[in-house]
Amino acid sequence: MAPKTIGVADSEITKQVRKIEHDHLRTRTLFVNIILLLLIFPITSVLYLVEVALLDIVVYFLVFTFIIAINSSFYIYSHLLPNIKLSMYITTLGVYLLSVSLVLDIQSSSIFTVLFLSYAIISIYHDLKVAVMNSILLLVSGIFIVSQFPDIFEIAHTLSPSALYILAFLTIFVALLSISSFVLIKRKLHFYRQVAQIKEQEFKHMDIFFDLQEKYSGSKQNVDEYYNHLESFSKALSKAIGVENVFHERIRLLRQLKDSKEATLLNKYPDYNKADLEELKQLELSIYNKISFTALKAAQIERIQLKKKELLTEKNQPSLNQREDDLETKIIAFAVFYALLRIDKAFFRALSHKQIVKTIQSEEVRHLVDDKILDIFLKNDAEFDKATRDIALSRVKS
Amino acid sequence: MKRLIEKVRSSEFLTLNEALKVKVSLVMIFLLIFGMMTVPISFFEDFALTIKIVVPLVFVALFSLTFLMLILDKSRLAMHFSIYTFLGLTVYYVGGSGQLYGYLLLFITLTVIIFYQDITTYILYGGVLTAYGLYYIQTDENLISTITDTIPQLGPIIYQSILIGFFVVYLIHFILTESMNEKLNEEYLKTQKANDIFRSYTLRYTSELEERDQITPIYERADFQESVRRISLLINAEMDKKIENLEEIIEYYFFLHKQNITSILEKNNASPTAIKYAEQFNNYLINKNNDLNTVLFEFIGLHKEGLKIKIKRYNQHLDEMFSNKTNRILGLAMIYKFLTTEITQFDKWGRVNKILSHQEVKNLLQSKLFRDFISYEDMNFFLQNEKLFKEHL
Repeated sequence: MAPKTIGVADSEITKQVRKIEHDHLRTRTLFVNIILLLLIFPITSVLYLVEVALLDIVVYFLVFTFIIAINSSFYIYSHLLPNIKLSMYITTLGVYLLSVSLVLDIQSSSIFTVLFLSYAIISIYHDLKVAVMNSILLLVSGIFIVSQFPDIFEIAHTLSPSALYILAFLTIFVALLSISSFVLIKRKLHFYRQVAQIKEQEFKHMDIFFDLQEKYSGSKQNVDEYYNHLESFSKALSKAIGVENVFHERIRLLRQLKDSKEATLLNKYPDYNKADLEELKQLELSIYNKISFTALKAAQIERIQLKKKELLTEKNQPSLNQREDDLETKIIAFAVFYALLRIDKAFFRALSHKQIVKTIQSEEVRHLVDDKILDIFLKNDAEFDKATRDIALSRVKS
Repeated sequence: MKRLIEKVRSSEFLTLNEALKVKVSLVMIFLLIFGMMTVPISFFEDFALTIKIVVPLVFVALFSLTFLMLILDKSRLAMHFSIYTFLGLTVYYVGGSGQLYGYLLLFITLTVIIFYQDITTYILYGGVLTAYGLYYIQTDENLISTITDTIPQLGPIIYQSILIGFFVVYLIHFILTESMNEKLNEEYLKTQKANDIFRSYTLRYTSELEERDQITPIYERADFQESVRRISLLINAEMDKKIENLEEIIEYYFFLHKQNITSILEKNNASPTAIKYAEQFNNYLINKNNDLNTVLFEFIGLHKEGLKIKIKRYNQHLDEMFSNKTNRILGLAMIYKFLTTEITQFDKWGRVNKILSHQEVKNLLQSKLFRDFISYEDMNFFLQNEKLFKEHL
């Protein structure tokens, strides 16, 4: 099977996608909870008006309270209860339990559509598993009510609606919304992945830039000079504020982070724990260099601001498979692309044919190439390798 | 049908227009099934013969129009026509004697509108439909006297409340999704723009390096051109429909690298074929920041390590990166040092050669846009100790 993603950062991308999803799910949980809270009063009032036993009304109230409490706990104590999806499943089951009970208690055609309302509330979660659960629960509840309690749908002076037709309506409703949810959730997850991926690509772009800058200027970033200046600055700052130099030890630690093992450093600096070291790594320049990445991005801040027009227009995603291009353009674009990967460039060394074949089949690259051309490439890959062997070998000579 | 299912399965890779086209096609299938299921029933309804004939005809006309729009690649218009067809069916059934069908059809039509996932369409058509539904429930006597309701007026109130609830809940759903996506989209576009800038720096450095070290640019190398020619011919040989003059087109592609594309496009005497290829190849020239280089950088990026940090990897604001003030000050000092020491911009001659001066960095730190990286507190700290920053870093 083709790999989903190539590269060391795959787990980081997945982690980031989960984080975005989790953050969004928390907000959605809050909205579902508010809607449920708003529904308590009208529902208990209707139950009271149709003379449902008081004890039953209390049970309804308690079930509502239970669901809301669960959701609130997962929302507020997300650090203690990280699996917010659990509250989502409980809410889904609870909402359908309440809906079916309502239909059976009120026994009127008017209340039947509360099932549609339940479907709408649950779909706020925008989650694939819950969407499947939602569709199944709606269908099962609908079939159960229509088949077991057909009298509910009798309306005076009208033709009796046949159970079959109600089920057909229900099926179309579920089918349309299920496909809609499927498409939407898939696009959403793809988008989350794209957001995470583009952040990774940003690191790679900056990395390529730094490498080339080094090659161009012939000198490396002077790490020692940075730390020396930092020492001098912190000394002067401490003196100016009139406090002890709390920076000195940290800068010393920064200098040692590249050579020493973590355990050694923790022994040497007992006031620091693992989390402190992790945080300090963001300032280290020889290995981690994150602060340089941050500063380089920050330097571009004025140029990366978006105009309103840019936010509203849908731009074609860069690819070698643009819809409006002729086949010959796509063929030449792919041929140039493959040949470029096989040749040494100023900013990146050539890739082996094997590496290209593996990467091109990954999910994030495959769709950037025309299907037919990709098929031809994969079927005749040895021929492609042969066609570029001369330029691939030229790096050995250079 | 198989292609349609395949498209739904890989819908995440479709553009908005392509996704809409798939949605309209699906709605049309549902519409066909639904029409076949329900239109024949209309003959048993209590309508005049003219209406009984007109309704199926209008249905067929609207359906055909939707289909036509879809073929003409007018997906948005096709979407509107498919909604009109459902709206027409709903109004028709609501007027018939099977009111429960009519009522359920209100939900089905709302569902179709929801299916398109367009907030304006939903508010417009969905709002009108919901209002119509409320009016219909209010005025229909048959719905008021439901058999099992203890209080006769309660039935219509429940009908109306659920319809409003359904509309409002989906509206919330839309607004929530839109606002979440908007924020992410902004972040995505900004990063895309930043990558674009870094790519243009790299390409510029590459051409400067080639110039300085007298290296032949890749697109001028005969061995490279020969490889591209061989690969292209290889692909062409495997295609069902062969391109006749491919070698000529390849030659033109390499020729374009040294030309000013804009002037070719503006030339009055240039042939339409030359203009067409110049337009298309502009996106794939090796020495331009275009789709080819974007895909190339993405590809080689997958073989680079990037950043080694794992904890707080994507956080770029000093407040998020560091938990204490001491580290934040060190971070701020290092950012200042980097900006005043390293090349980070194009200079006025378009070379990647500009190092920011102290005043420029000060302006940058004071800019509102810089709050994406440092807080007001950090900016004030810098201003208070500006002299120390300038002298020691």
